[in-house]
Amino acid sequence: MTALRRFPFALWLAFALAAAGVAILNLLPIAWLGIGSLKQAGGTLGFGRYVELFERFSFAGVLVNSWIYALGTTLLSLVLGVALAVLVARTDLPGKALVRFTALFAFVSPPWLTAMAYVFLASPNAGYLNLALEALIGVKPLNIHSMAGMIYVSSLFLYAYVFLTVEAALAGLDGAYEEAARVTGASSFTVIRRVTLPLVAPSLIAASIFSLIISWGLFATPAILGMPARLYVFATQLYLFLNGFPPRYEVAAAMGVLFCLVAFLLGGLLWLTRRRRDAARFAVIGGKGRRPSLLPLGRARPLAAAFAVLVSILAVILPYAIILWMSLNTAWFGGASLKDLSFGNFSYVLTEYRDIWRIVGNTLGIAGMEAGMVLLLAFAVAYLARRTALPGRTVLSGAAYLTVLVPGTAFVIGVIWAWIKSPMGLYGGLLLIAMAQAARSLPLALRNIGDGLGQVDRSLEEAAVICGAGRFTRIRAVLLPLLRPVLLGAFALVFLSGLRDLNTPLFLGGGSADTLTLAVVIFNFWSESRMGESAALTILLLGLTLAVFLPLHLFVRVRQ
Amino acid sequence: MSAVTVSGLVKAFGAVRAVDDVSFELPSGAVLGLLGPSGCGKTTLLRCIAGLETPDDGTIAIGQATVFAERGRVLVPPERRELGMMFQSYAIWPHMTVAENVAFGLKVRGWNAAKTARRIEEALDLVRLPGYGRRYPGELSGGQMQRVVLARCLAYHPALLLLDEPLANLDAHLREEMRAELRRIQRETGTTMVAVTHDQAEALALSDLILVMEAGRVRQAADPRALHARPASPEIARFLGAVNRLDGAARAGGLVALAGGGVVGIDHAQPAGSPVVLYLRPGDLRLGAANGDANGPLARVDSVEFLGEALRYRVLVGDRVLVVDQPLGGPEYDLGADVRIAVDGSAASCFAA
Repeated sequence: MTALRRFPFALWLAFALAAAGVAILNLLPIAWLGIGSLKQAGGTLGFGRYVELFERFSFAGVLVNSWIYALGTTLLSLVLGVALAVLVARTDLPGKALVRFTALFAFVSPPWLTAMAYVFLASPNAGYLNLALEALIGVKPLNIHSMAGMIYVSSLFLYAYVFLTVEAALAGLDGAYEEAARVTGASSFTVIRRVTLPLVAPSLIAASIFSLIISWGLFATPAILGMPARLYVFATQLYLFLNGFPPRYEVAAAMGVLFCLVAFLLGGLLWLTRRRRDAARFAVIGGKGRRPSLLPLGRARPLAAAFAVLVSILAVILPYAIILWMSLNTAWFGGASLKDLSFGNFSYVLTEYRDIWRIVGNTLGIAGMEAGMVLLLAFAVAYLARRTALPGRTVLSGAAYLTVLVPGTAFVIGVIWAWIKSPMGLYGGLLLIAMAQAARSLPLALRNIGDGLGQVDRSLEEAAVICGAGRFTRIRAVLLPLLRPVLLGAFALVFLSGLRDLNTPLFLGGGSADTLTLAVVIFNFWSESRMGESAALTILLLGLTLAVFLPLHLFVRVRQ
Repeated sequence: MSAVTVSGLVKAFGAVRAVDDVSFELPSGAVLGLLGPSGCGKTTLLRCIAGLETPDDGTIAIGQATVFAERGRVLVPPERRELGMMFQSYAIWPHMTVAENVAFGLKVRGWNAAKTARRIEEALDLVRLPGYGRRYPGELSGGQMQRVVLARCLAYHPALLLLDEPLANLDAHLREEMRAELRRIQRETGTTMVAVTHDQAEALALSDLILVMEAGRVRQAADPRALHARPASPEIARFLGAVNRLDGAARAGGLVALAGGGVVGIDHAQPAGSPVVLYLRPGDLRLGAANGDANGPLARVDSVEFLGEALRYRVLVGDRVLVVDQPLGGPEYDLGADVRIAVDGSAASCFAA
């Protein structure tokens, strides 16, 4: 009773609404994933589907493949991402802007784009690189439809995540630690190895574990590269279960639960390392705002620069160039040449293909609804958790973060289970797709907004209280204006990831024409081997992305 | 009429009683200084008055209105207490101009545009920042920001102005200037103030009444002169700068025989024969020749620093260190020299040992 009396009704109402939002978006699908997996043939509950998974569907093989794929991708992403982050944040590497831009671009561009581009480049028979190598050395050595190919292409996307996480941690590092090591006579390499990297160990661990979890959920790359070679991992096997006849929702749910368990295990590991390490040992964010002096690379500088440029070329420049080339090419790939260039693909998809504008509308609508929901909910949860003493606020923010630990494709299975019989007819509609995507991007937005809120000194709001402003005025007149860049940044991030999401609309759309998005159509074209149309739509999506991204980017820049 | 009445106030954080049974009454138009070392509970007390912390027990009244009583059954939220507050971090809203900052409290109170504009001008004139309304806080110096905060607080004529370490973020010379400004503005507006500070000079200069706090409790309440002359305990004497301790025994006639030799007269007699301790500021001691006629004990020079207007000696009496500020122009001594200390007994605080 005392707690009830201590907080005004409006605050409780906000808490109840936020809690309901998190429960509907996050908890309901996760709970239903568990329930669905226990539904056996004949309507009884039990672990029959799990047994079936191993006995009838040779699940052990998929399990081994998934581990190899996830570990390989994580490892390569870490090597690339950490190396580039250290080079950019702590050394005198030339061309840092290119590396940053590449990473940001790789992070917001659709992962299937890189996969498609590498099919053009390195498919065993007709890939351009293979053809070029055959002319040179007489053999075609590359095969992108392999485990190595999948790991390579996925890393070109995931390294960007590692880079962005670790670079942010490194940029906040007090340079005095490194300067002290250099003054005692350590070489740049020794400083990085013995001082810099150990100091950011927490963010390295977090980046590795989240990379692992993200790899478990990746769908587009293994679908485009692995499925033609009958190489199945977790997400693609799920896709088969859902698209087979009859669809096996229960087995899919059982599989989803198994993978959630893996992710929860990894998350628990992260939590343990966070708790056990003495926080003071990593208290390295300097308050002085002084720019640290950069470590000189010396004779390794050209080599490092070449490495950075090579990653940019392989991850972004080459794939986009190839997709652009293919979008302008109407001939079958292998035989493409300059004289075949035309806007035929574009004119087909824009004028002849059914409903293209409706599909664009769907895509923008889903991303818009998603970003709206996420922004509202993330701000509410972050505010309640950081600016009130309401009991239950920690549980609320924990529940909002929970989807981080559920691989993307597994979560979608839970969404299907939760809503397939919904009385409101949500299933098969745009809103449900937006809700599922919102649940996925809630943690990222929550972290950004929560960090932003943490940086707003409390006395700024207290000063407003003293001046006589109520809570609502404080939020409207002080907090929201101060957080504007953070909120816009979060909006852009969520909206852009919403535009390119493939798994969710593909799995939830149920093949209906009413819910097609650009990503799904691109994937469908690809599945039908209509590469040119697929590439042209990808370019269109890229145009949409830039049309949103650039003005926002400029606006935030100018504001700051 | 009293502007603030606090009685029996208690605020605990877990097992720590940050404010422990504090009571005082402050007349309208006066300035109260809350003085004490960091962690003594002075800021918590200020935040309880502001309403930013909710006390566990006691009552707080501002003017005629009780804002906290009966363990929170009476609890006026901070936005309805009609206060002004200066935060240590300034807390100027960086996204608003100076004028918008000053206008905020007026807008909340629903003032119309013309009245608001007039009041902004008056407030900026009062703090001597006329014409600064269109600037953003990022373009101001530390001292100017302090003035903006003051204008923002005073614009809506609050019943009470709270100041949390108001001068701590300023350079030494600016601090003195702002201290005088605060005093001038307080006189001109007649605003009642409660100021938290850990700097005794600031408290003495600003306040009409000083509460010395330690471990959540009020150890002494006095006006600045009385506090300076008669600290209530050895701890307070030390905190107020009387860092030198001399042991001795009281004699009849207001005399004290010092442990290291010498006899001094003091203002406040103690029962003859009882052991006493004297506390003295560095400026209340002088060094003289070892064979001279100074009234204090013999000592040996251990270190010397040049302070500008004086030389600061650390001397050893037995194994106890005394700090002596010797004005320039007097006799000077080398390291290791034997000296005799002259004690200004009238400045000493004397306690029973």
